[in-house]
Amino acid sequence: MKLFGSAAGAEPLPEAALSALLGRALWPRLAVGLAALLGVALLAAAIGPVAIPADAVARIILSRLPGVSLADSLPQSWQDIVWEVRLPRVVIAGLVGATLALSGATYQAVFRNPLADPYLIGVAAGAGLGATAVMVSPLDASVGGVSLVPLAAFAGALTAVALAYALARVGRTVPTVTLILAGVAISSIATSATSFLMISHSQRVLTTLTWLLGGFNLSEWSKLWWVLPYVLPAAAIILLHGRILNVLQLDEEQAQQLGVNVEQVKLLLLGAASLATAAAVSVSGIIGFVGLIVPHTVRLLWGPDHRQLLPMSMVVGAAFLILADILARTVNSPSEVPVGIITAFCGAPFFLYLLRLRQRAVF
Amino acid sequence: MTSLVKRGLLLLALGLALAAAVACGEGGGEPGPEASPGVLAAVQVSYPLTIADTVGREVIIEAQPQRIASLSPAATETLFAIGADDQVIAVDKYSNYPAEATSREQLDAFEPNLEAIAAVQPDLVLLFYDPGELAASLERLGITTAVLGSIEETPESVAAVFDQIRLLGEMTDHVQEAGDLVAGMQDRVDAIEETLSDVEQGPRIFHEVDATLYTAAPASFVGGLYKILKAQNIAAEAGQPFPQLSQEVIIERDPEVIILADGAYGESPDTVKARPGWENVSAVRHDRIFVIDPDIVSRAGPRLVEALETLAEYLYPERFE
Amino acid sequence: MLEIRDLTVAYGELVALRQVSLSLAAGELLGVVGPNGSGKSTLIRAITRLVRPLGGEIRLDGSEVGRLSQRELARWAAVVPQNPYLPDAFTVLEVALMGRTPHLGLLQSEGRADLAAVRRALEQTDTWHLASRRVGELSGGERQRVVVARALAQETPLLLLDEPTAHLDVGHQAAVLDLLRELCRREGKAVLAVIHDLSLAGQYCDRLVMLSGGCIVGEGEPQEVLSLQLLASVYGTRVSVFAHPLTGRPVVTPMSEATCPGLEAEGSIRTLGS
Repeated sequence: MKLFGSAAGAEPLPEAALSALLGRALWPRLAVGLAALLGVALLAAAIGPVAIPADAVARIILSRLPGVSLADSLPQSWQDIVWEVRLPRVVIAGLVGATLALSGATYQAVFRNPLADPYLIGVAAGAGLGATAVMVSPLDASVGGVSLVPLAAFAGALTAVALAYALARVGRTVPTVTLILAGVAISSIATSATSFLMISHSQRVLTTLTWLLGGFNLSEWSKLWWVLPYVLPAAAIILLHGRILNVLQLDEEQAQQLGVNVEQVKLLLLGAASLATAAAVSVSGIIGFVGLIVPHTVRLLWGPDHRQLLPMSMVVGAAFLILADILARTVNSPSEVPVGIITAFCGAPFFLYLLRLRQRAVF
Repeated sequence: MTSLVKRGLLLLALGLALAAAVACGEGGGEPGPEASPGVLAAVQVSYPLTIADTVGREVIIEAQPQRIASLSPAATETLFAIGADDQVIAVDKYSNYPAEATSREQLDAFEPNLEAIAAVQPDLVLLFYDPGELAASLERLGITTAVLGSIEETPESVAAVFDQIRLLGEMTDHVQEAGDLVAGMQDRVDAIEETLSDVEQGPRIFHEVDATLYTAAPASFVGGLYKILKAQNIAAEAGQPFPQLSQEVIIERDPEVIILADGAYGESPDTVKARPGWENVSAVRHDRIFVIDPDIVSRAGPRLVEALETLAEYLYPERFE
Repeated sequence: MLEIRDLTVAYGELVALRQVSLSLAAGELLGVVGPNGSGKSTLIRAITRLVRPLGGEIRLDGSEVGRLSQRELARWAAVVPQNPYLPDAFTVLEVALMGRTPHLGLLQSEGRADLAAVRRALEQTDTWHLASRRVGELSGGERQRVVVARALAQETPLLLLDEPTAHLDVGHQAAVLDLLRELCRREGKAVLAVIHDLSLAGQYCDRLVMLSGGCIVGEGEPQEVLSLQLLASVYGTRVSVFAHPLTGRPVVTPMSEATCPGLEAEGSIRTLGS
C-alpha cells in the first residue's frame, strides 16, 4: 500500500501520513472488515443444503427480537434450522476462524518463523489424542448430557503444550528453537498414539477421522458458551500486546534491551494463544491452514504492524472459515465434506496468486 | 462264524457298498451361488470340493475342514448356526456371537497377522475383507482361503446372505442344516413381505450410524433391508452407502422413525431429543426413536432376519407385535 | 554515572571479562578498544544484563543494575548492537519508533512527543528522508544509522554502542562520531563506544580503555593508551603512531616490514590480530 510517493526527495512526511503509519488507519479498515464479515455471515445464514429463501431467513432472525414476530407463517422446520442449526454454525465457524488466525499470527510473531501455525507445539496432536481416546473408549461419550469429547480434546491440547514447554525449559528461559523441537516431538508421539487407537478400534475409524478433519456439522449454541470464556480473555491479552509483538520482531536481545521482558511476554502470549486454540479445536476438530495462511495474507495486504495484523487477521480468518463452511455443507449436498479439506483446497491457490501479485517481502 | 455274525457282516458290507456308491456317485460340487433357494440338496458333499468365493477366486477344499479360522464375524455366526461349530478353532475379535464363539482362539480381522494365522494351523481360513493380498499370501503358505466378501455395500441383501449361508454349508459339509436354516429364514422374510404387501410407502426413516450423523443410504446392506420394508430413507439420493448428512437436511426431511445404531457410544432416544433444533422432528415428537444392535444389521448371517423383524416392528408397530 | 567494579563474566568455561573496573561520567565519550575477542561486546551485554556476571557489580548513578527492571534499565541505557537483525518488512520510521518502547505503557500508542523524538533522532543520523522506506531495501550503512537513530530516540542518559561505524563510509563515520561527541557536550549524555578503528577512537574519544583477553590493559587519554609499546604487545604487531598535525590526537596505522622496508624491528614481527 503506497502511502508515500517516491522516497528520493527529502521532504518531511505529512502529518496525515504519519498518523496513518502510526496505526490509526486501523479503525476505518477494521470497520470495513467487520461490515464485510457481517455480510458473509448473513450470506452463510441464507445458504445451505436446505433451500430457504433469504427473506425468510431474515424474518426468522428478526423475530428473535422481543416484540417482533414476522415468522409465524413459516414452517417450523425452517425456523429450527436457521436458528438452532445454521446460525450457531456460522457464529462458531467465525469464532474458530478468528481464533485460529489470531493464534497463528501470534505464534508466527513469537517464534519469528513464517512457517509457524497454532498447532506447532502440540495443540492439535494433543487434542486429537484426547478426543480419539474418548471416542474409541467403551465408556459413555457423554456424562449428564455434556459430551466428553470436547473436554478431552481441550485437556489433551493443554497437556501437550505444557509438556513441550516443560521439556524445552533451560533454567529460566525457553529458547524458541528448543520449544519448536519439543513441540514436534510431542506432536509425533501424540499423533502415533492417535493412529494406533484408530486402527485398533477400526469400527470407529469413520467417527474419529471425521472429528480429526474438522467440521461444524454438530454446532449448537451451547458450544459457543464453552469456547468464549477462553477465547475472549486470550484475544484481549494478545491484542493488547500488538506493539510489543512488533518489537519482538527484532531479535530477543534487542527487544530485551528495549525494555521488554521477553521470557514473560513469550510465556503469556503463547499461553494465551494455545488456550484459545485448544478451546476452538475442542469444538471444531483440527482445521488446518487457516492459522498459517490468513496472517500471511493479511501481512501481504496491509503490512507487518501487529496492531493492524492481529485484529484484521481475526476478521479475515472468521470470514474465510464461514465461507469455507458454506462450501462444506453445500458442495456435496446432502453430504458434508470436512471443512479442513475445503480450507486447504481453496486457500492455497489464492495465497499463491496473492504472492505473485504483490511480490513484496512477506516477513 | 455264527449265523448272527454272518448277518451282521453282510449288513455292514451292504451299508459300506451303499455308502461307497453314493459317495462315488456325487463327484465335485456346484458353485455355491448358483444353487436355487429352497431346494434342499440332501446330499453328502464330496471332497475335494471346488467353489468360487464371492470375489471370484477358485477355492479347492481338499477335505472336510476341521480347523477353520473364521476372520469374518458373519461367517462365524453362520458356522455356529449350521452345526459346524466344533470345526471352528479360531475366530477374530469381533466374532462375538454366539457367546461360545468367544472361547475360540482370537485373531485380528482388520490387521491380520500372517504368522498368527499360520500358527493356528488352520485348514480353512474365511475372510470377509482382504487387506492387500492376504488371501494370496495364505495360499502361498498352502492354507486354503476363501473370501466371503463384506456385503456392507451390496444392495441385494437378502439373496446374497442366503447364498453365503448355503456356500458355507457346502464348504463344511452341512448342506442340510444350511438349507434348513435358509428355508426358515426365507419363510420369515416372506411373512414380513406378506404383511406389508398392501403398503405403498412406509414411514420416513433416518438410520444413524454414529453421532456425527453418518447414515446408511439405500446402497448399503442395511439400506437394502429398509427397501424391503418399503421405508423412505431420507438419505435416498446419496450415491455412496454411508454418507454423512447435514443436520439441517435431517431436520428438513423430518424422519418419522429414527433408528440408532450407535447406542454403544452413548446415544439414546434421550440424547437425540435433547439435540437443539430437533424438537419438532416427527420422530422426536412422537417418540419413535429406537436403538438397534449394529451387529445384526451389518452381518451376512443368520441374524439377518432378526434384524428385519426388529426393524419391521419399529416401523410398523400396528402390524408386528 | 556508570560505575563498574571488578566485573567478571564467563560463558561456561570461557572467561570473557576478568575483574574489569571502569567508570564513566555524564558528558564523557569513552572509547573501548582492543583486539577481536577481548570482551568488548561482552562488556556491553553485561551492562544491559543480557549476561549474568560471575562477580563484581555495575551501578548506574548508584543503583545496582541487577535490581532494576528491564524497563528501567532500558530508560537508562540505549544500545546499538553490532550487526543487529532488523525485520525487512518494517519501515525505518517503525523501527526507529521501537526505541520509544521503554517510555510507553502496554495500552499506550506512540504520541506526538514520541514522534518528535524519533524525528529528531532520524534527522540527526541523516535518515529522515528514508523514513518511509522498508528496512530490507537499505544499504548496510543506512541500516546502521537507523539503529543509531533508534537508540537516540530512546532518550537515555547513557548510550552504549558496539562498533557504530563499522559499515559506514568515511563521511558518515565522521558524522556519527561528531553527533556522539555533541550529545556528550550539549546534552550531557554518557557514551561508551566500542570502536575498532584506533585512529577514530583516538580522534574522538575523551578517554580510552584498552581490553585484551578480558582484562583492562590500558586506560586514560588517547595519547597515553595508544602507545607504540602497548599496541605492539596487545595486537602483536608493529604499528605506527603519530600525532595528527591539526588536533594533536594520535593516529594509528598498521605497519610491517613489507610496507616499510628498513624498519628496525623491536623484537620479532608477528602477524596482526590474536
